[in-house]
Amino acid sequence: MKLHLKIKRFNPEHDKKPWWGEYDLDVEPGDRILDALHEVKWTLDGTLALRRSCAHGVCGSDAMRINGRNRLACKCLIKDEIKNGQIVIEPILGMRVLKDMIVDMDPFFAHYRSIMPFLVNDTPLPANGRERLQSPEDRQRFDDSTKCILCACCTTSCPSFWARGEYIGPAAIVQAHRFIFDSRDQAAQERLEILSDVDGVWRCRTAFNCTESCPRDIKVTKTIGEVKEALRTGVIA
Amino acid sequence: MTTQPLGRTIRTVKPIPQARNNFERTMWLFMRYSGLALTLLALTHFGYQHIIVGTQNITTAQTVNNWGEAGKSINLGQFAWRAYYMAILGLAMLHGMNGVRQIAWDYIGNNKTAYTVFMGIVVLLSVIVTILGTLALIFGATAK
Repeated sequence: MKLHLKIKRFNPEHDKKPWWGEYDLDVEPGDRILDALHEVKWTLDGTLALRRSCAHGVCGSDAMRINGRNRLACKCLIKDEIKNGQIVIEPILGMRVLKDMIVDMDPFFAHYRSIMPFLVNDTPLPANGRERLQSPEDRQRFDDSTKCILCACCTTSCPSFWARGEYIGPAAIVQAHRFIFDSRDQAAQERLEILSDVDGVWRCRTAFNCTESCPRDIKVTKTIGEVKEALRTGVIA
Repeated sequence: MTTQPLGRTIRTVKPIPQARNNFERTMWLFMRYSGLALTLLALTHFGYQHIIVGTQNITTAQTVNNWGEAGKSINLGQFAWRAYYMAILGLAMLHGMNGVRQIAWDYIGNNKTAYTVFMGIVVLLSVIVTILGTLALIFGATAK
């Protein structure tokens, strides 16, 4: 089938502002958007810059705005996205564009690091010296938030984040949730204090863009709601 | 052989100490509760005026009847109507102002001067509107 691909291009070395690159391709309906981008880069215009690594929806490198919605290019089929023979692709919003689809992810990872994304437990190991066990129910409690791959689809679809980059963003809150609700973790107090900041969890106005855009189907807004509830009641349950 | 832990663990944390953060939490909760209250209050107003009274019967005389006439003593029903509209006025102004504060923080929060000046103007205007509305509710309607 024929595909007209419209890609927002920007090279800061010689472009004053972004421009639309338009490419006509022959594709299979079951091809992924990433295949179409590869086709452009490898046969039509080698200057197109994009990030991708595993190409199977696990590494989270190729988040981009496809027809106005944040998606992973490797998880979207052309037949599902094509409208009137065309697909529009832009870099994710709210981040500084370095080149074409590549954005500066440093602020995103700074927010991620700020919530201490690692297990904190200073108590001695169990007597047998092996792992700290937890019940299946306790493990299930934070199962949804362990699925995050840090692709930034959620954070860069959030209107609060577009308006104010200091907002910690849905991805960092999901990562905090993963540890706050882990029965083995002991730093819930510190994480909740960080999230109670003026640019923390209360900036969320439940727009649900994050839930809609998550390629891992994490219920992001619900996760944020659970953190709010823990902050309100002081109970982590 | 280790035994498998069972059941759910429920933990508690101490109250979050920073005052500013508790303010944001309080305002977030206020927005939820006041939003719900305003929806009910506004729907009640709409249902009463448009369905029970009927749009063709909304007149100054009807308002005077509901609120009581300016300068005269009012009965309990008229006092209830005034209190009802005072609740709408107060909640709507606080809810609206907090919404504007949130948006202003989003867009100009980094510029402390712009933020302070903008919020100063917004609060001043909202206080004027609230005072005018309150005066109308205190003194009642004037029959023509």
